[in-house]
Amino acid sequence: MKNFTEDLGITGHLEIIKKMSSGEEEVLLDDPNIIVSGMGFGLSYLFTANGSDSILDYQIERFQIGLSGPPAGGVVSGINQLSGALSSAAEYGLGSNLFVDVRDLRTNSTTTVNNQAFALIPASKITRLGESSVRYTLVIDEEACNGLTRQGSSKAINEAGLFMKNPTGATNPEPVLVAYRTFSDIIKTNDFSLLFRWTLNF
Amino acid sequence: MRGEVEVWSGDDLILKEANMLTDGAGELLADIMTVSPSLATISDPATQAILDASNYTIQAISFGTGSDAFRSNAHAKDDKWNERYSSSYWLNIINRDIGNISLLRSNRPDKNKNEVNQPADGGFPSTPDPIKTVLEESTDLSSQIINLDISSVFPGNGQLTNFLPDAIMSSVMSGTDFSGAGAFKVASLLGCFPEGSSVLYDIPFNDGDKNKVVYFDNDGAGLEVEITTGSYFNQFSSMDVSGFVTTTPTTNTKLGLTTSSNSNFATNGIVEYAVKLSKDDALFAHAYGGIYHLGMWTINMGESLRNRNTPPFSFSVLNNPRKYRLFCRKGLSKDLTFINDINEYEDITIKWRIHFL
Repeated sequence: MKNFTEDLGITGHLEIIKKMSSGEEEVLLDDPNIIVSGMGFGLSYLFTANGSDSILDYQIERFQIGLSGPPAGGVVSGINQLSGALSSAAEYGLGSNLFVDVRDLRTNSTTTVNNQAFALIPASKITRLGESSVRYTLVIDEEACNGLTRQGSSKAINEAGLFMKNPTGATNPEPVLVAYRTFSDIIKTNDFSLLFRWTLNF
Repeated sequence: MRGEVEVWSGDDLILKEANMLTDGAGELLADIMTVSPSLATISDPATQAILDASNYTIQAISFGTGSDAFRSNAHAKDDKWNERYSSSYWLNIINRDIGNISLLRSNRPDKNKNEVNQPADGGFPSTPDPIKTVLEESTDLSSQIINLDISSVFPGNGQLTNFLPDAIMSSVMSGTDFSGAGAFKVASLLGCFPEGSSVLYDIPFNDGDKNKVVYFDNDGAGLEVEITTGSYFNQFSSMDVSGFVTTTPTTNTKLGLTTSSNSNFATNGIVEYAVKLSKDDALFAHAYGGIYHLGMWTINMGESLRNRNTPPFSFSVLNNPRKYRLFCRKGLSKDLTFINDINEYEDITIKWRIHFL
């Protein structure tokens, strides 16, 4: 049986552009993403009136960058968290323009993962394209996501996710993963910024 | 499967099929994702109400039939209809300004007006298409009253409407070219659902007349079926004049469209909407061409605001500030109200489940 998001045909597309400080641009990725079950999870709270009373809590207004994609179980719609999300504001870059918010991540109706770091997407970077498409522009500037390491080794970023703010209406917002994409390793340095153009077609 | 629709006649399951999500569902989600968060900083209550999540969920259901049906069945009149409606037989009806009688010539091929099987005519719906924004296109009535096209004042909106109840008829006809003596005829042609059970027209004529469906032919009135339970929609004021049945916070499907889910909704993602048509709702809908379409609707926030309506949009039968957007629809190949004996209708329950996971 198809579920709501499959039947409605919600799709996503991610374009990653590398922008050198010289102005030179390079497209690193231009591919579809995967809409994960969190989208239906969040919408079920809306349509059953069991979740938040504010429509703003059903908006996609934050993202994560990760280091450990793809997931061990493969990229499937059941993914509810990144394999290795950046864990702190410091990893996102204290000197960057990203605003980082630490919240518990909701992975299903009963489980949360505590103290996850999310980068917020400014409203000005959320653009409606036509009747049923929305583009999220995520800017990983020169000062963001540089010098990432795990166990003393330099690490590349290779996964990203979009999150619905707080569909369950928790007192302290508990974001839910709704879209996910892995990509080839990118060792981020302060020589360039990354532009994620993430378009969801509802 | 695209969600599913179940239809029950009494205790009998008469239909279980998939539905179709329309492009309106995608537009709704794009609306949700692009509501400006800055609205939350404005203390004006009406502005705050725009952020109320209930404005972005299923808020109504409606019923429709094929395009041709709006120009036949009880929607149509001819010289004979005019004659009968002006005759002494109907004079008492006219005097009472009752528009809630579905008057139609026998639509049986054999013209047998007394036969209890009276099939609705011309119902097949148009081809399913997710881009559609209404249940059916080209649903203007073709009839005229006082040499004026009814559709010029009341254009078709793609579905079965609710002009028959006296209070609705009196209000919506007021100030139009059809106010006065023509109002009841116009309402009778527009249809489509009878009064609630508490409304009877027995004073001052004291003949106990109730809303009825009348099949007639050249030799006078024939088969008549009076209502018994009346319309649930109009008894509980859940349907507006445009034919939208609003939601009810209760679990009583007679009161409107209910929303329910079990405790496992977050893992099974199933939301169920349900509504009940009374046996008399079915009887009258059948006289107006039957039910070949079902549609579920959300509020179209942008359109509602553009019409200068201020949230919260309280449902109103006569002047509903809610402008709706079609979210999902179901087309049927057989009239939901078809029955072999129109005296034997039972309540019809529609259960519509959407699977989010």
